[in-house]
Amino acid sequence: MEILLLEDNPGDARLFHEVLRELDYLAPRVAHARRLSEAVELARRRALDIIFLDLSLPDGYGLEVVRQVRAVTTAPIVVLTGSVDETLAARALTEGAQSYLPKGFIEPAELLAAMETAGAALAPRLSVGANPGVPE
Amino acid sequence: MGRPVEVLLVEDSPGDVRLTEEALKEGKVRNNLNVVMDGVEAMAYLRREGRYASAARPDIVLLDLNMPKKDGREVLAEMKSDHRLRRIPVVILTTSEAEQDILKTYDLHANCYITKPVDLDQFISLVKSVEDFWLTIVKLPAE
Repeated sequence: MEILLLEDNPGDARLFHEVLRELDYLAPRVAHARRLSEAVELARRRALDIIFLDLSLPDGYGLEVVRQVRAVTTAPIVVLTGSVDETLAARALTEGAQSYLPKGFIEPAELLAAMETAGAALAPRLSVGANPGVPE
Repeated sequence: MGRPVEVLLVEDSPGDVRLTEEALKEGKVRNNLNVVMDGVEAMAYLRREGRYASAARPDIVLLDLNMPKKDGREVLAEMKSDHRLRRIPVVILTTSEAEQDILKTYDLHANCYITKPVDLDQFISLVKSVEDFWLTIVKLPAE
């Protein structure tokens, strides 16, 4: 599963990776951008299954972040929100995001639920010609 | 200083709060880290309002800039125009690299401006450097 994480806070990025580690069966591959410009470039070039966006960045803030990323990709977007800016997150849903997730979430189930709500295809992406193997 | 140093961290990023806690826990100086997650809570804490009526006066404030409700620039401006709070050193700790933020916060009498590194280990090392400088080298005002 190809994931783009746009998050400039090192601690929040670490939390995200820790929780995602619990969802190993999705075979997640994470591209981590720290700036909006970097995320826009990655979203333009790569086939992504889902995108997670922080809205407070060194080079972009708020709904502008969603608009710029949405302009270059059709991949589902989940907005990562601070503890009390749910209003902003709700508005993000009208700007092209599909779901939001409060930062500081600690349960893999919460991450999974946000991904499902966003409409991400929750199956490992198999490369062409790959042998899916025999289930254990 | 016989008592622990009171540190107020104003930060809306839960992951960065955790990292800062970890870094200060490993530090040399006994400290009490108090955390609030937006500017409104920060001012209530500093003015000992409501549930913060018995809060200890911080010896130093670590202040993020981009936060909901009331941002760090507003908190800084209010602190530095309040004669009871203006001597408390304020360390701006932010991901913003914008020159206008640097200029504006120094205009508002921030005591220093630090851009958070994106790398985890560098972040922890930076918090330890802040601790080393501000809590062991600098003489802080008593009140």
